[in-house]
Amino acid sequence: MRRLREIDRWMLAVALGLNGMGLLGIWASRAGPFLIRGQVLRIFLSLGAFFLFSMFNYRKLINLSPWLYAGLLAVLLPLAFRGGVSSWLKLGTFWFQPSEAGKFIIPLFLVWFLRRKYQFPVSFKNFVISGAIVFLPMGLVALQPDLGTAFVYLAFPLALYMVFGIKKWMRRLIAISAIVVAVVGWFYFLEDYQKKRITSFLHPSSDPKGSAYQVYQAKISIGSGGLKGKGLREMTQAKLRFLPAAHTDFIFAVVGESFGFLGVLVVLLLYAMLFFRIFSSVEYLAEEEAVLLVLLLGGWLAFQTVFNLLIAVGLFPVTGFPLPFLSYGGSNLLASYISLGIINSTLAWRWE
Amino acid sequence: MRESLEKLKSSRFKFILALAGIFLLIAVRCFQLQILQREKYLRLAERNRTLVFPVKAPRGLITDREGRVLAETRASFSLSFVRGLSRDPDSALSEVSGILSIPVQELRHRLDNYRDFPRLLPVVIAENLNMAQISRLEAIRDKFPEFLVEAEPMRFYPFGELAAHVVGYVGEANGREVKALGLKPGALVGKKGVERSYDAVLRGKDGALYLLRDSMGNPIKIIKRTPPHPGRKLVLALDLDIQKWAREELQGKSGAVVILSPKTGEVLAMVSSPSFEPNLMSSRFAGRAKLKIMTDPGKPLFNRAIQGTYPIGSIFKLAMAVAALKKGVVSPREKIFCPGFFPFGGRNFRCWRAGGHGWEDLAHAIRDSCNVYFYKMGDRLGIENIVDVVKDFPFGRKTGIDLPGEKEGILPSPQWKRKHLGVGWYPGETISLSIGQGYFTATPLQVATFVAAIGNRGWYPVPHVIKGEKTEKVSMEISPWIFEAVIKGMRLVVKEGTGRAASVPGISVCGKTGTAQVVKLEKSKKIKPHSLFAAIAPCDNPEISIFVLVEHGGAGGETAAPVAGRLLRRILGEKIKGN
Repeated sequence: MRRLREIDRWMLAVALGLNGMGLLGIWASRAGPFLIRGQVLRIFLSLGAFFLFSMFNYRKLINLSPWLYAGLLAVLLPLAFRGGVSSWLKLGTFWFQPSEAGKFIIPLFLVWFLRRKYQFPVSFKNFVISGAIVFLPMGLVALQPDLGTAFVYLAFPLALYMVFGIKKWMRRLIAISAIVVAVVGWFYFLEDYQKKRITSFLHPSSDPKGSAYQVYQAKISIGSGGLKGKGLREMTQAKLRFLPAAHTDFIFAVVGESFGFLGVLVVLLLYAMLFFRIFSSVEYLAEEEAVLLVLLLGGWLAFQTVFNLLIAVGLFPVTGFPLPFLSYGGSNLLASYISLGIINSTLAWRWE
Repeated sequence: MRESLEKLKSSRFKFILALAGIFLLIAVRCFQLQILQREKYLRLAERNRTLVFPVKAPRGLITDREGRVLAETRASFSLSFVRGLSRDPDSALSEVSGILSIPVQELRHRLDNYRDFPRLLPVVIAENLNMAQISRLEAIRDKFPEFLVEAEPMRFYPFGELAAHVVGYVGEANGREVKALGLKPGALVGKKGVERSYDAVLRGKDGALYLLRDSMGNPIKIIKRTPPHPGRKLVLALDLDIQKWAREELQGKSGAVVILSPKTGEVLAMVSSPSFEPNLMSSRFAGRAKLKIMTDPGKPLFNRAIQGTYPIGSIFKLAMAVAALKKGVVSPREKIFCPGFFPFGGRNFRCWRAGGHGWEDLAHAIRDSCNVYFYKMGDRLGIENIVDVVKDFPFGRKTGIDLPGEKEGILPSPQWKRKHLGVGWYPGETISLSIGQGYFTATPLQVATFVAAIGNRGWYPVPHVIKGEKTEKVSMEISPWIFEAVIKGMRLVVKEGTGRAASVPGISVCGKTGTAQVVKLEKSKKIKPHSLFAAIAPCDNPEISIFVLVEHGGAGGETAAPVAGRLLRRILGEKIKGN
């Protein structure tokens, strides 16, 4: 109970506020009304996980992380090679996406590996091994194939780069390998529909009814909302099913249509507050492990949020992943709240 | 250690700064979309929620000259299938298969024809539903929202086969027609006959209803309404009674009858036998029945009256007589001796009567259809002179009737032969042509127009099937006395010659029989020649020009002339006198 008092109330309040906005958006989209009860239940379960992880000593979690990481690989491995599109695993009565768990297990294991050998810029050995720690599960997730989640894993190398920096020649190495991966991926791994998303983003006029359709309809939704929005009853884009995945990946467009520019500003402000609280909380920490952990966990939340928004406003090609705390669905919500819980654990246990 | 902690901690500013930048970018982008470009996206959202319902323009009626309806549009119920709404098309189709009593494969086949059309477009899979079927189909609508029962205007031809070749039929526009006429897929378009040649007049223009949907998808208000322009009514010159009599005459035979009003060019009757059932042909389905019609060896779809090109036998002698008189190679009174044969180019061209006709002037040569007289005319004229006069008659080119698919026939000449057969003209061919043998062919409509030109003493109208169309006259610049001389012969044909069967008590009929040899490759079979008869009546001021063709009917006086006689007696007795 003592630990609960150390929880950052602002962080929690903002997350709950986003949940509330999300529920409104889900309710507004036509598929929504029947899904509200389930979503409320998921929010409560995730909140429970949040408190659990807040009170649990993050140091023990870091020590446990090699096991968690091994477990993650063990679960992802069969999913990657099971064939078909399968990123879901049944856990009791819940369907769960194990790839979501990677979002907090990979940071824990990275911290476990890097602790006591921090170098600025990063040493070659650390560069290679931490890279492998991320890309191994990322490859498996990409094979499922769940390119959306795999894309979010890129948040970790990016965060590490921002924290440690790298030597010039390594930067070149990354650039070259990125090109190689892009070329090989384009010709051997990407499915036609995924390629189309990219080409249609680069040339929106090439296929107005095909893959650019989602982005096009999302822009119509947001743009037609105007300053004050149409209100929850009068919005039509999602209700008439012009906007695909309205209550999941494109929930931001629903907010934009029903609450207008003002609603958009509120959501952006809530996220800005959330991330500002997360990243500035680092100031009060006294341990390198805790700092790095918070930066990595906050990193993926911010990364996923930012790219989801960029997609919704038509500034990035479409890949599918939810908007943290706002979208309908359980797995990502749970991973988000667990990550938030671990961040709070670093605050609650900072003196010991 | 302290140093690395500080370094780690200070990197948070990079995170915060980067995020601040991106959030600002997103906010600016939303400002652009929602405030600056709001109008544009609002309009696009409006367009998304706009429904367009086509309002079909009713197709115009087609009636005969007395107002009897030949083609009309009736409401009918049909079943449509929306592929875009179907989760499981196979089970849906097997569900309705029983109600419609149409096999599933057939239904699937009907759908497959529309594979390239938009998936949300309703595709008609069954027509002419009855009430029992409609109520049973409505009952399963909850389970299968992909089915639509729609009232649909259907073309109906009350008289069926009677005037099928003139009226024609409609069908769904094919891909080319959709593009050329700017139609919607599935729209009805005229395929044959008047339905086709006057399609634009009959079709009218579809209207549309633009509805705005509310957020639940229900239509809430009409934004715009463009009213349909109904198709115009078409009154044909056809007289259904005459058409019926003519058709009865050809019942069970192959052939054609064309009856014109020689002064106006109005087509009073046009029969091509055998005929076909237009109600079957205009159905979307009935594939097998349609195929049977299309592959029938009797060629019922073929309009013999304007598409059949036939040798016309002795009827051509009338054209020869006009040519000979015009070129001055003979006078009506000059008598020419027929010994029964005409030696030319080292062979004997024979008259049909072995013993010969003796001395005959023009009128009697026409009466007796004397070959030798016209051989001599051909010899005197030469092919160039023949063609020079005959080309002014409607031979070797279209008459210009307002029906699709008219054929030209052949008016042979040395130039024609060199162009089409690659060889020169033999003098003997001029002699054969003089009695209508050789390459010369004409459509029944051309022959009827030809005798109209004789009856009008030097001009003919462009024939047309629409009533009251302004008559387009084609003048021939040949003196009337020439025609009087020819008509005198034609009068004798009916009075005392081969065409006696065509006489009408109290009215003077002028005619000419024709017997066209049919060349067939199988020598073993003896095939009867086509029987032909062309006439005008009354001779002095013709009200009727008629041409009768009975395929393989034997001699002209044997089959065609009696047919023409019966028709003329009825027409002149019941119609013209009554007027």
